[in-house]
Amino acid sequence: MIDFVEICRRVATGRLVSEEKFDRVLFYPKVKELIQRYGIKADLENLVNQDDGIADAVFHAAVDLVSEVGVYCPDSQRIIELSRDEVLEAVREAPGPCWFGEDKDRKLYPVRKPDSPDIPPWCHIGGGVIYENEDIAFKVVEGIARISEADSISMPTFKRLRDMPISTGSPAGLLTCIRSVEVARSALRQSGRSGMPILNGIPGAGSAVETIAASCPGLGLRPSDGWIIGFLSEMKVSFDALNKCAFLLNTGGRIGPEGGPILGGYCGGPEGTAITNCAYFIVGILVMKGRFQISFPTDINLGCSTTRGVLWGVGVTSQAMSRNINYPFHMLGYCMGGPMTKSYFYEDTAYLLVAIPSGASAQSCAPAKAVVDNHMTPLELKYSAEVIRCAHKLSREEANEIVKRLVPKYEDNLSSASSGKSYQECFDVKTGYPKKEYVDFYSEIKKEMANMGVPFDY
Amino acid sequence: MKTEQILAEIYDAIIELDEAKTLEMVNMVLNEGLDAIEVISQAMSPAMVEVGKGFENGKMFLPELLLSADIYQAAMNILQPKILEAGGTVEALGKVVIGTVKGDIHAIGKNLVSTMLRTAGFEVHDLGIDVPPLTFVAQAEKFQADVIALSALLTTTMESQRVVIEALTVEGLRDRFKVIIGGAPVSRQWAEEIKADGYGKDAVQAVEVTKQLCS
Repeated sequence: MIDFVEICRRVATGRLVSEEKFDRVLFYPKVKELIQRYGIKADLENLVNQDDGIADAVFHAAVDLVSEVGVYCPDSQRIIELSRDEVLEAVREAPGPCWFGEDKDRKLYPVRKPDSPDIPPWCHIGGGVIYENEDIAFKVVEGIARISEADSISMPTFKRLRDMPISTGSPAGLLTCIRSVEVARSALRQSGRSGMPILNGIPGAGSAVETIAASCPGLGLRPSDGWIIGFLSEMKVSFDALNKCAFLLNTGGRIGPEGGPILGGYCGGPEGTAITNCAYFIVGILVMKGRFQISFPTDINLGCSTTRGVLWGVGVTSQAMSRNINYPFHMLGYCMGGPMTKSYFYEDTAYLLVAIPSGASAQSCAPAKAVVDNHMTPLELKYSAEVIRCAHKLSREEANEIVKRLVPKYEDNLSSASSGKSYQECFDVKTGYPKKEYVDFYSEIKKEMANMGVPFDY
Repeated sequence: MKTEQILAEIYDAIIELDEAKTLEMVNMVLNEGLDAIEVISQAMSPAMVEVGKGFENGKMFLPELLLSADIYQAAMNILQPKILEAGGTVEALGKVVIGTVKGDIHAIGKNLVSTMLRTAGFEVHDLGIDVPPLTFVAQAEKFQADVIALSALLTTTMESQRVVIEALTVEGLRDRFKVIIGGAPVSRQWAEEIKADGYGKDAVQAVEVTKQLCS
């Protein structure tokens, strides 16, 4: 497989084009052409695709997209061109399952297949929600550590350093990245899960300087953790992202490339979004030398992942990738609803039931799209973990029947879904345990979902 | 060809993203001495509204929106000089300076709003991404803008929206420009906290709010 130095060469010497030309003349027309070439059509009534032919067509379209268009670097304004042979080699040589964590929390992140009840998915819990201060963030991490189903954690962060608001790229922002790592590892130790792998210790949107600084040995991150590095939409990679790769490849960090295609943007509709999503996996391996992949398609209008078009794409992408590449990955959904809202639980369940029977592992869905301060609590994350842990028992056909009944419960109110309640409203901030009101709410919703067919373990 | 028919064909051509046909019909308008302003108000602008609805409903996507805006602008480039020659005016609804704030390199949302503002009749100056606060101020002064539109996609770059407002205040220019903010992590609550003049939860609302700010 071409190595990272070769990627550096191509980013410096590839074809020079404007970003606008890449987007509008090269990328989007090719996506449209590939949809026609492979006859891909979304079925928005049956969101858990059961046609392996469609999944494989999306995979092949993604291979063509990468080899016929390439990846754009806005910093050098050049295209990293990748030949078909190189793409197919990356597919053949994809890294397989990966060990994360230490001691009793050391576990193998598997590669799954659709309809594989014998391979439980990796259960990644948490998200990059911002909290009022580090004390709250500490308690949230402790709460996540208490979720026995959780295999790994994505860390929250906090919005102030002392009384200073934080900006990305500022010295205060860098100090906060460092402090977030320290707080998270300290909270995990205190909870008795010191070996739990952190798969996103530094925000994917953080700068290379922040990543490198907060990755210093002794602060809290270890080679048994993972680092998320994001592509830019669509099919673009920045110098900053490549700088992170350069650092991590030389320090043994496991890279998790992250692609978030936007349905309604330059990918077009559900079909183009699925093809682009799959393409991110391939370039994740080729360009970033990924060890595992994260995928988070969203809708351009709502910014969430639980519209029909996105859900269909999540399922098809999961099937396309799990059927064709030996590469571990998890899907990350963004819900409109926040903590202690029915919408969150309905959306989260629908998303996970599409992804996991389709062959994916999963992360707990982000409440309130992860953009409202303090709006993520360990209780809806625990619910999410319980669904992740049992959803693989369902076949795609069984999951589809549940999702068909579940999506109508929330979709008409999606744009007005409440961002819910804050951690401080849902939990006792002194003890770090949920208030009775939320526990009762969670129990009721879980019962409702069990009655719909979600096969919870308990 | 009857006026109604020409207007209908221009309307359809824009919606079908047929630039050649649109420009052919626009030139026919001029050759037949029809009212250029009527063409804009009765055919072109309604077509753009329809394109906007198609985008909101998921029938059309960003590339189509951008293409329709290009076609609209190409048609305007033919019509505007003729309107001015005839002593008429083509006034923009307002002038907007737009950009993604310092520290943030995300452009899609900003591009979407920029395009929709243009096709709604605003004169838009797009400053790009990662724009320092004082650059917004300087460019707003240079272009004599009415509105400064600030996009932020990350919770950690939203703070830069506050800093732009601070910069306007420090420069003694706060009352001269309206400020509208938007982006995934942005909320009405944040807009109130930083004393922005408006907030758009999506591109469509951003255009509506900008119209209100300029009225």
